[in-house]
Amino acid sequence: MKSDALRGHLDAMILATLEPGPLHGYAIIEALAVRSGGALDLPTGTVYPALRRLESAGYLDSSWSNETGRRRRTYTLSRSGATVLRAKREEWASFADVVSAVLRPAT
Amino acid sequence: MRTDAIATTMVGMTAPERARSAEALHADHLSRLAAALVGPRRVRRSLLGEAADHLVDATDALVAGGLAPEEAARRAVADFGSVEEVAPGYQEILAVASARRTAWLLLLALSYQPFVWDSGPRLGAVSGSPPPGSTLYPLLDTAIEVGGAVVLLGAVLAVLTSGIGQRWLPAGRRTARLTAGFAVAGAVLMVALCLGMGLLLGAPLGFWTLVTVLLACPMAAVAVSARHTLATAREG
Repeated sequence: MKSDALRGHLDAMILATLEPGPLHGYAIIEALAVRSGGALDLPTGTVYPALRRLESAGYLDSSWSNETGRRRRTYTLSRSGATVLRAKREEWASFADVVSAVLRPAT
Repeated sequence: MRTDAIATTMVGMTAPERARSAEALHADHLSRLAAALVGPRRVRRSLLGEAADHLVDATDALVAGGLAPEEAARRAVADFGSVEEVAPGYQEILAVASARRTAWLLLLALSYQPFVWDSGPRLGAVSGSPPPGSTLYPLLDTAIEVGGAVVLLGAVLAVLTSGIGQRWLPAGRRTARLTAGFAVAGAVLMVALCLGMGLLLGAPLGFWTLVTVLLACPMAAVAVSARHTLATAREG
């Protein structure tokens, strides 16, 4: 799946990967790959600016941590991030319902 | 040395040499990314540090998956994206961070002005008495109060837009340019109005000293920061 088609949904997908708990950047990218079944064809470097933008908007919190002797920036979903994720899920579900209904072959 | 050239020289190397060359591949990519980015040093360093961590993690994961270190490093760099692909996103973050800093500086420089003019050093009183029958003085007095309030409000809006306001309005280079332009205009307006008032009143040296320290210098800092913001927000 090409990055242009995903750009508008990247923020919501990032928020969803952080719903189970805090992750550092690389783990978020791995989670995106796993959850999409490897279908996301996105330069991984484009995820980091998106993380910073979401943090500035208050949807994510971040801190530098030191796991296994390596310094990593770890991101956590904030309360408002969880709220916006719920809203985006509902928005997507109703959008998908409408498009599916229209695209369904006529019987 | 460019990424391809580094990869070519890896043929026939020992394992430690290859590991070092994998690091060289990362360093080459990161240095080209760094060269493409301008903006606040702390944010830039943090972004590049995170990119470096990513390349190490990605390479390690690929090595664990069975690739040789140099091949893993090359794949990690390719998956990360070329500088042309990723730099615009990073530069947006830097432009917005720079705009936020400029907006905060403007807000800070304006925040104590009511105190400076009306209660603490009482610049309004130090400046002298208005010439009798002057029509310009009340005009300047109103302009400095209204103009100050407008610039203060604009600074608050700019701080919000470049921060939490991104929830509702996407902030990017355009926002950064607008913030920088507004900050320069606000700084010039405040200094010009104050200058006009001081000249009209024939203000004493003490007034000019206080104005220089408490208004002109902070506003000059705002203008310098705005200039940096414009440099970060330049397209292409």
